[in-house]
Amino acid sequence: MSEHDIELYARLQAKDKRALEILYDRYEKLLFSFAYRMTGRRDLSEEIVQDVFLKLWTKPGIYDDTKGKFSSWILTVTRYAAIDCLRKKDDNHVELEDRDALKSSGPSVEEVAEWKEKRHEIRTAINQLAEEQKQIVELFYFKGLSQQKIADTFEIPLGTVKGRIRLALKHLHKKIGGIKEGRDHSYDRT
Amino acid sequence: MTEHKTCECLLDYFNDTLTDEEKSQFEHHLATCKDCRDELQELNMLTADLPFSAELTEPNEGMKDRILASVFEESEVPEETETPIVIKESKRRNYRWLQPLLAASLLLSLSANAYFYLNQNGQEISNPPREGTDEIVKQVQLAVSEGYEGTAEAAMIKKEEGMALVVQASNLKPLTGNEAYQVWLIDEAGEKFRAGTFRTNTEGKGAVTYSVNYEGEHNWTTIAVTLEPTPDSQQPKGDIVLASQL
Ligand SMILES: [Zn+2]
Repeated sequence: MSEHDIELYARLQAKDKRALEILYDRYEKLLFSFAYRMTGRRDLSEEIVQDVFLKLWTKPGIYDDTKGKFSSWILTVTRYAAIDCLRKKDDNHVELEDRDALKSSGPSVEEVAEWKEKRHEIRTAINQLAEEQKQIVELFYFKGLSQQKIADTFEIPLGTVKGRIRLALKHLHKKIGGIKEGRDHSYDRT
Repeated sequence: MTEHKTCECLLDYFNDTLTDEEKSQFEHHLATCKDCRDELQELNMLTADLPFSAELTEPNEGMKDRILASVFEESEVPEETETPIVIKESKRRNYRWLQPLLAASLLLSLSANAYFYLNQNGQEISNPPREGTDEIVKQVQLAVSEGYEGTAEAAMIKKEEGMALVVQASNLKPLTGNEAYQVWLIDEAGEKFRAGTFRTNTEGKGAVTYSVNYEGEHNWTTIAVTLEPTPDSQQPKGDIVLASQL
């Protein structure tokens, strides 16, 4: 039985290097893949993962359970590190592209279980979104653009940006829910 | 900012695009505006699954060693000067063992006293050393002291800006607590100079690069590795584990 994240975090707080290493092994692929999903660059993705673990190791008390699940929290930290990195490296460059083309993924031992479960569902849901909503999610969530930049990119009034983002996210959430339900339903029948 | 205007900052707060001042203003606002708190919570909920859409991307080769080394280094380093070593493609076979280390030191851009883990399974780090004008002037095998185990090689490398020392050790006994392996250069007068600190990985391997730029001229006679109770001993306190004449 592997140790829970929160126990490892407690050990890490006591400067147990081994605990950091276990957490590293557990999250390396997910964080690297997520950073790569956001930046599209391996070098930056490594910097981002390093930044996250450096924070974890050098900033005591950076996480506590009021901040939610450890996995959600560390992903949020990764996202901010990636956004920061994107801004530093590439200030005005915005690409609208579909990087979602499915590639085959190799075997993996250390994957976070949640990822395995959710990856397919979420990707399917994203692919079901209308093109414009897909791009809104991309620029807002994965590129971390400001409302102003999103307004400029889509040539829409600033005041309408928030509404569109929320609509796209809610739409996506519903679709994910729908796919999950469909899966559970088909399990019921078999 | 009017109340209404402040509420509009929510998405930019979520994406961290606000200035520090705007950010702290918004955080104050957040404490008093339930709408914004609810909306922020909803935003977190709606986006929580999105990272899991990432396609599995294999991490860079050797990434774990680099990251862990630099994370641990950042928090415990005494101030010393060590710089990356640049070396041209080797024609001499006998210092092949240096290659991964040199490559790693390039990747790390060592700016401070760096010890780092070698790749756990002994894989070479694939990036080739870059072009350079450096030359290996001396290379030795260190002999192990009685009661200890381990092997180590050391090389002095002449660089444009001075001399660099590279030490790579393996099969060393694991460290406990704050212990560290410390490299020393000893001159004709018997004076001992710190020349790099390293820790070992789980397989007992460790390595360090160090730029040798002490004041004055020194004729080095001996290189030694000691086991120190802490990484910051200014003079050796622990036993000599490995040593060689230079
Ligand atoms: Zn508000």
